[in-house]
Amino acid sequence: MNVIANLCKHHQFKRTLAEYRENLYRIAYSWCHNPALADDLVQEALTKALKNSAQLRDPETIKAWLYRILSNCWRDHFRRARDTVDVDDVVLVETETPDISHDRNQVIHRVRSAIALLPMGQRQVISLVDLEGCSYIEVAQILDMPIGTVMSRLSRARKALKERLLEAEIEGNSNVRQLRTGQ
Amino acid sequence: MSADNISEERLNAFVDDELDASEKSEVFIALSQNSALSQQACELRQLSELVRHAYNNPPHSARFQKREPRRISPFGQAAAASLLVGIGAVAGWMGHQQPVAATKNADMRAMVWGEDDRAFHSTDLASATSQNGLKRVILHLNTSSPARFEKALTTAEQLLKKYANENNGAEIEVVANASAIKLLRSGYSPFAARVRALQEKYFNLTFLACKDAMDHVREIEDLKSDVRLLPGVEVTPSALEHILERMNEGWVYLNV
Repeated sequence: MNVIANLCKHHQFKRTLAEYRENLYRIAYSWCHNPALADDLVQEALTKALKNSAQLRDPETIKAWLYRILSNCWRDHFRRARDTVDVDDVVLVETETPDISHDRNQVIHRVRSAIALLPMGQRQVISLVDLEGCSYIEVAQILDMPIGTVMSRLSRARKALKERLLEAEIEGNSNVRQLRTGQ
Repeated sequence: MSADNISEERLNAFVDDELDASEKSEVFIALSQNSALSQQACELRQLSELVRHAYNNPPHSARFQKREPRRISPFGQAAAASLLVGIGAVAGWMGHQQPVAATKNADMRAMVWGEDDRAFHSTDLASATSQNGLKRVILHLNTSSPARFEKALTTAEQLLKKYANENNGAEIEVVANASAIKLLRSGYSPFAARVRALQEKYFNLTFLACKDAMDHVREIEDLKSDVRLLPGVEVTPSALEHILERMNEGWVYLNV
């Protein structure tokens, strides 16, 4: 009977993992802005999760646990690429994202570009808070940092986005007016 | 509490609903005294919505899209069908049993702020709206959950009833964006009759649909014309901008 119970449990666990796939992908994409890489990261994270399922003691915490694995995969990927640079300090800019040519939506494109300009540490915090609705405590656990750091990174990230998105828009509007009055 | 004491981190925590009740009250007082701070809070919320909007439908790699749907065995299909019928029957029965005005006699404050974790403004309605003598509330819906919509309608009705006999009465707007649009769509909304009845009974209750969200639905469903809404539902170019404008005008915001 134990064998059957374990099999059912394993099947259920796999289904739960599958349910999180889309959410993990969204977060991974917001970190790297590269669909193929995001897909790889999610695949790697899910494989690790499946392999280390015994580490998850409380099923209630699966969301934070999965994001933590994804964050580690992302960190590993980055370390493989740039061995001596701290991932948190690097401003990663994707100049050739595949969505650029397809994305006709100006707002979405502008927001994604602004996010892509954020330092990775800030990008991870803002994506977990805004996209997945994680609490500050959850983010602190996922990224393994003090809650104060979560708060300051989030604050700085939003400040930067505000400058790039909201204030740029106001300046842009005032330029339009000047041009028009100039005519 | 002056605005100087509200750090940017704290204001962010406020917008993300990470503060406890007493801390929230302090921020509310500071917000009511300082319009610049209030504006800042609006902007933070706007940014948060923008980020969500930007990653709502991330592009997928070709590999991910090519994944074939899982085939389910005939036995599995039969089991799923029976399960669906069962769920339908249970849901129907429960829906049938559900009292429409469950909160009728509940305390007004408890009713409005019952779900504290979802409420952006958990302040006392009377004090929040006392500045202009009007009870002006904007209810924001962004999910297609019928239960939430039902709750918004009940809340709106209770508020309108409660303040009906006072001088200025209450003014309420129910704004739907994102997937909540479905609940104001003609032919899709399960609440068409109730919305109609409320519109007829309360002239100061307005339903608004976000044009951005409607365009999004139109794009997804590849419709030739605009999404058809329930009669009398107004359209606002952007729900977000509308909400920010209302909040600047001193309306009380509730995310249902």
